[in-house]
Amino acid sequence: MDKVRRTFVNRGATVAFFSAAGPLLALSEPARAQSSAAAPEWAQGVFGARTLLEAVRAMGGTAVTETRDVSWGNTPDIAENGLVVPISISTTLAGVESIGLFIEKNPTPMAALFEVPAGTRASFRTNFKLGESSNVYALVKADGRVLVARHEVKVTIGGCGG
Amino acid sequence: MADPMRIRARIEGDQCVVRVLIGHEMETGQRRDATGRLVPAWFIQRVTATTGGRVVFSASWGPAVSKNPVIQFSYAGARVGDRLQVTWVDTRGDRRTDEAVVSA
Repeated sequence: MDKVRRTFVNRGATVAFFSAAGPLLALSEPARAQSSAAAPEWAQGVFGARTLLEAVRAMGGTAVTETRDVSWGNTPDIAENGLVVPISISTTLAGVESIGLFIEKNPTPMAALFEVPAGTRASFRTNFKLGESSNVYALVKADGRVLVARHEVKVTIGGCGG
Repeated sequence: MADPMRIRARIEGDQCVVRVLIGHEMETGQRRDATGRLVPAWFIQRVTATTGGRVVFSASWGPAVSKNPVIQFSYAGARVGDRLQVTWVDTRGDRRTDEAVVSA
């Protein structure tokens, strides 16, 4: 395990990772066929949303209703590099079905939609690009309602255009 | 063929914490190359993870996810030795699946 962990952290050590994971690679073909069949489609309607209200509606809500039950974890208030902004979202709300992430000032504001299968924690972390300083909204669909929480991220170097 | 993902799945308390690193350009379609032409959008749209036929992670992504995406999530009910498959599909229809074994 320690070897795998170190190579995971060390992004240059692909060869070492391969040798550690070697026996597993033979299993990847049947796994591919199985999991692709189960993969639902991309949520096209949600990603077309241009405003927060459109995004709420695309997720099945009716109005922008605030919640305080969202934690932003290690999400920064100020990001030096807009190309890589780590965003963590988690919520203690019950009955969470999905969590959307909406980055208000981005050209495509809808950034991600995480479904929450039974047994999976409503807690996710991924890196995102922010073109400029922006409000970031978590849209939590729970018990059929969509609730919204806001976190502002100030960016000193933008993540679009490049 | 895309580079293999790096997947770490480790039991911490009653949760299996999964960290995934994917090698992908994640082009937004907004960026211009050296000659001023727009680089077409090319990004991962779907990521799923399954273990024993059970879906434990399922996400749709837009173009705002960073290059070489990282994911962290966790789920209950895992045992050491369980196999976990992670699959992504991008806007070109390219896909890749890799597997990890849950460790203590």
